[in-house]
Amino acid sequence: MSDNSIGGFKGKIKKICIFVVLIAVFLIYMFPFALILINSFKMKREIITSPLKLLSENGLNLENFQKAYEKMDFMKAFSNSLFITVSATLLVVLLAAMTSYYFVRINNKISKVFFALMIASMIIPFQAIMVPLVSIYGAKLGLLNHRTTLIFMHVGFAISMSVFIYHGFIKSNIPITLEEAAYLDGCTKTQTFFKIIFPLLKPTTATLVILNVLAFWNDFLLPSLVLSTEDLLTLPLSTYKFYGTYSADLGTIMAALVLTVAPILILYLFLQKYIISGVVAGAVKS
Amino acid sequence: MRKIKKAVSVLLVGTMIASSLVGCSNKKSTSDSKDSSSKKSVEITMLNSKGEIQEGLEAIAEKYKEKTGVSIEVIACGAGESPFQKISTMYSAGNPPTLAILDTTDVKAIAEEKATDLSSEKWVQEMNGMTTDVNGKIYSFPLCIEGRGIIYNKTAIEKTLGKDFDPSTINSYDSLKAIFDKLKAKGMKYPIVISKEDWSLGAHQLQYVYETQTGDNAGAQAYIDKLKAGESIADNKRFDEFIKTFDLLKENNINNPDPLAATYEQDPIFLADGDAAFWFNGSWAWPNIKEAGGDKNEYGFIPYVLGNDTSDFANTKIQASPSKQVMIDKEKATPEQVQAAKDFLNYLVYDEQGQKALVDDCSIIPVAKNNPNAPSDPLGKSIKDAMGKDGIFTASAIVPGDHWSVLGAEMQKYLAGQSTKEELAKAIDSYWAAQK
Amino acid sequence: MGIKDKKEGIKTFTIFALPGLFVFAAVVIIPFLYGLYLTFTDWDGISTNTSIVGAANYIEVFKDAEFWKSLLLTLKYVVFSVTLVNVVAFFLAFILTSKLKGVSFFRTGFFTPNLIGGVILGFIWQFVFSRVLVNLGHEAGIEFLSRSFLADPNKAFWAMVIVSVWQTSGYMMLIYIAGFSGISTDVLEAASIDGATGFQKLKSITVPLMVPSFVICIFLTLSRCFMVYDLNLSLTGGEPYGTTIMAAMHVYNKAFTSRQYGVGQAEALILFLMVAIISGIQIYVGKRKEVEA
Repeated sequence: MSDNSIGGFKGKIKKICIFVVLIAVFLIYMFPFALILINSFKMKREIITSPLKLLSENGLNLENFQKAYEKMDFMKAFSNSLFITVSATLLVVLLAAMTSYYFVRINNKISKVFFALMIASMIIPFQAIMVPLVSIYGAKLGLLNHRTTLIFMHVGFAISMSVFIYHGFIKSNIPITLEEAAYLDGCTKTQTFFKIIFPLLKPTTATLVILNVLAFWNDFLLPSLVLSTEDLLTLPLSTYKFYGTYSADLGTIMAALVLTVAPILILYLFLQKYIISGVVAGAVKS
Repeated sequence: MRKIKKAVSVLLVGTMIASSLVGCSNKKSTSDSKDSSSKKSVEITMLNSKGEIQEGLEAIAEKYKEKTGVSIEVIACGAGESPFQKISTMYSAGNPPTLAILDTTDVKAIAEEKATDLSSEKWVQEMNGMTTDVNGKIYSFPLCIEGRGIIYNKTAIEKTLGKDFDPSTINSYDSLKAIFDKLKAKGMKYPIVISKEDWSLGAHQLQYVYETQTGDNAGAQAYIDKLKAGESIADNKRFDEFIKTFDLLKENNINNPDPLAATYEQDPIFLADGDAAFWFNGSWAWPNIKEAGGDKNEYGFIPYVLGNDTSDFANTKIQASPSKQVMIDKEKATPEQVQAAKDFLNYLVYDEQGQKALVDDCSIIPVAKNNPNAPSDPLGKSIKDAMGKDGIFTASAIVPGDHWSVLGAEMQKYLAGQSTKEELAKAIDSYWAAQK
Repeated sequence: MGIKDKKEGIKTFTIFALPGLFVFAAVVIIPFLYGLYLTFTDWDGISTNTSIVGAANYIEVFKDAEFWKSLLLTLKYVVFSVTLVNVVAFFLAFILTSKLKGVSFFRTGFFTPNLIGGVILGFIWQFVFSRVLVNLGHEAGIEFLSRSFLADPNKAFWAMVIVSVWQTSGYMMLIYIAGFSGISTDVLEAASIDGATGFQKLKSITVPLMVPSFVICIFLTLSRCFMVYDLNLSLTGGEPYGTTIMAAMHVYNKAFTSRQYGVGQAEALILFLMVAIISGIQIYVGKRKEVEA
């Protein structure tokens, strides 16, 4: 991927071409997002009649943001979302890494059966288990309406995909020789895992953190089944107020959306560094 | 390596905290539920399936709490969730709402098993007989009246024609056609907006065929029974008239030539701006028109005209009926909660503050005849005025839950010119034949 | 992590696998089995009286022509979306792991579609298809664009595919990027020294080492596309006239709009089985091609 090695004029032209195509694709990808951003400053009628206009007639109108902030009870919903997302993500990443490590290294029946079950479970339509789920956790166990229950369920639903992704990377990218060396140094299995293996999984972990955070942060259906008390609502749940049966308060919804996704964008920018670096190569060398 | 260590330790601590929380969730929840049941003041919940009154209901709940100490938590049914799914999952979860605002067909389906009998409530006499009867009993409180028909923008019509417009002159197919033609002659290219939504086409338009058989619920039900028994809708006079009117609307639809590319956001703007003079819709459409910037014009309803008999009630009266029903749970609610819920309904009917809040905060047309407050929006007012002078018929067909979506799709096909009248009739017949 | 004796084996299992498996079983497996049981009852989703009806619901499924129609449509949609999503995502990841200016900026951009969901996504794209493109078509005189995509069954289908690619490729790109980062640069440098060209390296080194990523991404897109619901609901709503109703939407409508919970649940299970078989084959083939480090 180092076009430099070919070098010269031809390489440069190629690079510029790629760059131009990339910018074009980039603009297409960003277009709807840009639409949301510019429309979050407008009133509903303007959104519908002239959604492409960059600036509202009334200039930079922050009314939508103010309204969204107040009606969503933003700080409370934000802290609920934060607590649920952070706990569930940490748990799922840790449990998935350990489980998949076990699956890769111990090749017994349990591993095979559960790995297959986990993969199969990813294709269960959520609509097919939502009623049984609430009836077990609600009517039979009485555990609904707690943030911890939601965290527990988030972990349960997300663990399959995380195990699946870790499994592939551990199998292909983590040389077993590393562990053997650690055992010779007298490390226990748990120590080996946390000191050697888990750090090596960093690029995958960073990816999974992003994917899981995103899923938990934006999820609507599961939280709506589990949480019903006003003080427990997450960000997506707190925006339902802007949707009516026959009409939606578009300006406020756009503003609420911007407020909701901004934290994720920041997190993503931050975590990117980890995803980029090829950690395995570096670790093996040192 | 140090960085990694740090990251791992942060992860671990976080996980430990989180897992310890999971570990104790069981104990915590049981103590929580005990707490809430032993509290002195009653707490009840209410499921709201009418998104646009969510804020209004919350405002009423606040006023009610101030007055009585009873707190009502209003739970919303999310965007894209069907009310029936929401109530099913809440019952499955073992925490059904004390009060549930549902559609009439949902109440019919579950009331006997789940709802408290309200037949002997005092407010029943205030409802002008517009309560829903389930095997001789009343299980639900009719929340509001909604009317539907062809909305006119009087200001736009008068501006275009240059003379006064009297809506009562539109009382037959021919008179509607005449005014369309006049408007077109004066430069309004397409005088009416037809929304392509399946609920609008499948429930609100098509159901006129059932509802105008006799104009009351019994007549609609009797006709539906005949359809189920195998009678073809094509043999019915009302169906002929309905298709004729629908064809007229179709031909003059501003969303032509692509009627299915219409959007519900754009539709009210056509009406508000006067690009079109009419829009087929109901009294709930006011917020849309208002947001479209059309609140300075005058609006009202004309009937969905059928045929040319000017003495036919379908041509002189507007369809209006109770649309949302409130039922009280009997399965999980304690006697105190049931009583509190009943008291709340009485508050809405008899308390001056409750009466006013229902109309002002939720901007709905109350069913109770003793409520003196008039809605402030022109569409609601138009329906309320019509009610006052015998200008409405109250038939509201009770159809299966998927009627609007299945036959709505068939109506879309017809609207887009993808099927003929005969094919539409056949689809309707086979839909009804499949119902048990 | 070799196992010396049975006790050691149990301990390892308890520490490493048990916590994860417990949560998984409690949240997914048990409700799923309960759901399976419900398909043999006449439960309507809410009633307290239910009785066992045997295979009656499954017989209903076979009679439900609309279900099979929606399944066929879903299959067609899956074929196009899965292919396009993965091709686009792979090349984006490939380009964005090379030494290029502004890489992180681009990555963020391609990823943003994942941040928007639900009703807003539908609204934005509805607007793009029914107005922006139509306007463009009229002004530039392109007949193809001047009628709304969403009003025509065939074009509405393609609108779904386009939005899926737009929405999912950034997500898959992320997984491919993680895969590329996992490839040791030493190997590639060695290959360059041996005189391999860019394309040769891609074909004989990168692609084989990327097999795990392919397995993951194809599987994820397969399952996501088969289960597509939110996008279906918010973009086309099944319209025009019910021609774009995909399987998951049909199942949901059956259970909660037609109130035939048992039949809807049975259809969901049949859908599940079909996807399980298809993706089972895909994973089996893919995993065999994986290179173990």
